[in-house]
Amino acid sequence: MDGTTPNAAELAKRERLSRRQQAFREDFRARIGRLYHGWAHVALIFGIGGAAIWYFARQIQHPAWYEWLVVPVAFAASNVFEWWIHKYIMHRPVKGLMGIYKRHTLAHHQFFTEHEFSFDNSRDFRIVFFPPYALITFIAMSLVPAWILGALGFPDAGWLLLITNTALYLNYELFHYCCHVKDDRIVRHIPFVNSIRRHHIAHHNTAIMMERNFNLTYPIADCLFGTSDLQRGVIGHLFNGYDTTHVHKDLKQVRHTLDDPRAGTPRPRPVAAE
Amino acid sequence: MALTPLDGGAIKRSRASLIGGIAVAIGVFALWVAIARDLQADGMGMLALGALVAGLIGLWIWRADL
Repeated sequence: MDGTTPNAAELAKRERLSRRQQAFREDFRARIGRLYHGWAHVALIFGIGGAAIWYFARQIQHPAWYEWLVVPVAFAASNVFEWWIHKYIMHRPVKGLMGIYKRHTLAHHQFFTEHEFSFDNSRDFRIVFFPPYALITFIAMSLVPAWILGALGFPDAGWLLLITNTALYLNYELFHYCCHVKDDRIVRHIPFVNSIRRHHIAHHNTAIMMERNFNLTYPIADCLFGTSDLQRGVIGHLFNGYDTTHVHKDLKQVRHTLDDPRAGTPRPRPVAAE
Repeated sequence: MALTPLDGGAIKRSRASLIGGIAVAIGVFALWVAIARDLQADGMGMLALGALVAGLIGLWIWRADL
């Protein structure tokens, strides 16, 4: 505490934050390394990703028309992979991958809830962006099918695959940033971004986080696999924006837990009958 | 008198950050070498610079507990 009196905005924010979330944020921020710098973290991810895409693009010679088909295939596969890893690895305690579960379900989802889903400053990027070795891992994983395509006589398809996957990873990080940025004056008007922002904020609702809204780029897999909180088609999902008229009416709800800002609020006494 | 750590001694250096730092350093160096070869600038000086940059990035990831 710095001894200053909190202003009205700060008081309103504290009211929104549950005590549990507030305590978690304070504890997490105290543990962020002194040498950590949020914008350096972002620059590293986009610097490595951008350099890799530039290098892969320079290797392309003369792709046949059918080699370009790898782009939509990789896009679809990445969308399902993003959905799968979020649903079954990041939200499930899997032996050997517990670090991912702890970082995501136990940390990211306590730091950001549906009541307070935005970061305050660039040091909070520590819990918004993946560590840079996630990008290295995804590029390394993509090298395998790319190498197979090259061995089968489709080297340009292999390079296109690497470009698509790396670009989608950067797309994921950018959209996730847009989901948690406080000021939405710009992002609320950008197609796709406004849809995924509403989609992801709804996912931060503790009641539905284990079963709804796992996509973080384009909510296609969520729509196709029935794990979206919306009841509409793929195009409707992609261009839904902030609209809540299509939200399922029977979603699970959590009331009066420690995550609920109303927790601890005394119930109004029933007025005695005259 | 004990030396004062540069970071003030308050950095948590977890094993995951150390392994991640090494992985990123290897990845950055591999990318650096590939790009240097592509640009036909793969002299010893350029490779040494790549090793330095990759090493510093890996070290930062470890010490910043990223």
